[in-house]
Amino acid sequence: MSNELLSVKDLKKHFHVDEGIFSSRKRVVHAVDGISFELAKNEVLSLVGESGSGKSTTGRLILKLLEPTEGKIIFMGEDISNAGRKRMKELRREMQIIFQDPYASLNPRMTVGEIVEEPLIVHKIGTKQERRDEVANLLQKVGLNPEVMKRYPHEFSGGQRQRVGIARAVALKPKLIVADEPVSALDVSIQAQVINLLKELQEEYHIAFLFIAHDLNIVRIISNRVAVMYLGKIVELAEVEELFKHPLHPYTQALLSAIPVPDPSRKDRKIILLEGDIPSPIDIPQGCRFHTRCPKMIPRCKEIIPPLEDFGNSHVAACIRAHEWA
Amino acid sequence: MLLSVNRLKTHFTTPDGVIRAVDDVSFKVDKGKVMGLVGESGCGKSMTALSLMRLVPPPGRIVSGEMFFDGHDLLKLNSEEIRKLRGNRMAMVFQDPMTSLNPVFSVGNQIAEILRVHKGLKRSEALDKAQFLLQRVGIPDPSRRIREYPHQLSGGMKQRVMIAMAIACEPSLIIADEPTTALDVTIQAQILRLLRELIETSNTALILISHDLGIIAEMADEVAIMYAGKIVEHATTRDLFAEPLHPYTIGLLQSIPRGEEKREKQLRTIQGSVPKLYELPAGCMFNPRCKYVVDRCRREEPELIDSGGGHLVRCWVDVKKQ
Repeated sequence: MSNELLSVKDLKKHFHVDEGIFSSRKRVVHAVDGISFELAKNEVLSLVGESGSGKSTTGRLILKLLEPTEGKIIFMGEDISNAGRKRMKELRREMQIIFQDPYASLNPRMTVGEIVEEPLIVHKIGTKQERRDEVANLLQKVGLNPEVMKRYPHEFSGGQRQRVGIARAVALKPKLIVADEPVSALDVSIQAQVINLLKELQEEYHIAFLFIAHDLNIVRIISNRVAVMYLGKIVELAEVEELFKHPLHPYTQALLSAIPVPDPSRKDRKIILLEGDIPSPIDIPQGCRFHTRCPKMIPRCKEIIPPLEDFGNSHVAACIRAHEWA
Repeated sequence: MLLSVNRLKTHFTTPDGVIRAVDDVSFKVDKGKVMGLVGESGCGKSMTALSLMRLVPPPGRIVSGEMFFDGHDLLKLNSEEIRKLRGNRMAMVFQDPMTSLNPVFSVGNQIAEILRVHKGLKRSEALDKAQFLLQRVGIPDPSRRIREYPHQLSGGMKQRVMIAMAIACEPSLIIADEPTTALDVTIQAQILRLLRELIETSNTALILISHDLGIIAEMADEVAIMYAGKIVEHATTRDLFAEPLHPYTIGLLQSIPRGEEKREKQLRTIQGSVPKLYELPAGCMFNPRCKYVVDRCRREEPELIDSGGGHLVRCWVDVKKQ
């Protein structure tokens, strides 16, 4: 596929944890446990799932901020799974990240101008004057007055800081941005502003996004395709409207029905209530990993690990019963 | 009438000036009803709750107003009397169960402690009741869980323990401050269902503080929208969502992505950002961000007035005519 930007094949990340100082037993957290997907140029793919599903770990693996345990990451035709630090530094010109917490992700000792200029310096782009002009241009693009260049992050609100983080991420006009919960720390009235900005930049610069989020309403607005993760695996992946209108995996169905609807007349709509808690990624259930909470569980689900099956329209889901309602 | 708050003002004196965290807030809550308190960070919704519990942290101070709860004048009670009400007749559930539970006591002991203090139960009786309460809030295997410590429980479990503590003495009022914000959606749905069941079976009143209008629509009987320390709109949930009258409420409702919008379309936004409480604009607090703004809004501050049928709004402009 010539249009392909990123391809991930059977990616795994296992963390080893000590049981405690008196135990020699080692345990393994299966944070990401064999996932595969492709991302086309200029596409927005969202990864959704609850805490512990492995979505943030996946984002960090792709940028090689974490080393994968197993599997392949192909970026712009190059296998970067084993790329060294030097090569990764070069490649990061094309792959950037926006973090969740706009308070922790900006260096408090640098001015906003220095923060946005830094990637340009690192990659030796332009003269000092050209860089300065570009920083002013970028700040304007993200809706900040270029005069703020000399000010420090603490002088800004959360929404404004996130704009600075976005300006830094787009400074190099990368091909891919991993956006890890970019609006979940912001107030509701500010979230919409930042989402609009991301959409504008995505369209103007033709950047592909791996958008990591748990707010499904936002995901629906911004994505082309959506992958739903549960305990380190992708359980369903489809075009965004297809997924929202015809969810096939019982977990996706529960997740979608649990979104609170801001409309009191729909107060009594049916919510699929899941039993129990998300299991620990240390003790992953046998068979289908969702079977402990699944309202549609049958005995076979405890034995068979369901593969991702194609249901047409590029819609895949990992549930042995999905054909019954597909 | 269970609770009545009248012109409550809670202010903080700081080097930057006086911060009016809660500024002239009035509302009433009946038995068995759910009152939603909505707003963004710094709007005063949590400080209103802490004022009710008389837990305002220094340098904050309740400077004026009245609060009547179940026949008690809350501002006239001494600290011993207020302690007898708190956790007993009125209880609070905080946003972050990780930091509100004591890490060195088992959850059973923490629940039992409340029953021993307020109900004078013996240790064994209190532990039995604690186990019953854990079962009531849907914790599986309560006889084992009762001996566990907070770090052994998941976030959803801890929040259930917090709710068990809140209902231990069968309070007539629960104040829940963003009770599900730290939780995942499927767990959030469980906790909201639990709160609703508890209210319905025991006629408890609930003040639900949230920034999520979806949760409010599902849970609340009436809603007050707060902005910069003041209530700007107050109505039944049905009226507020069907016909919002304050430009801030309208903006908030429009900026929620509902999924139905077309992909190409931009989300509607409220311009600008939430003001700092020590540099508030003159006139109406919302005027710099308001798209209906007229000259009067920059000069005079509007009062909260009844626009008909008990739908209160603090705005000079009649948005219905715009």
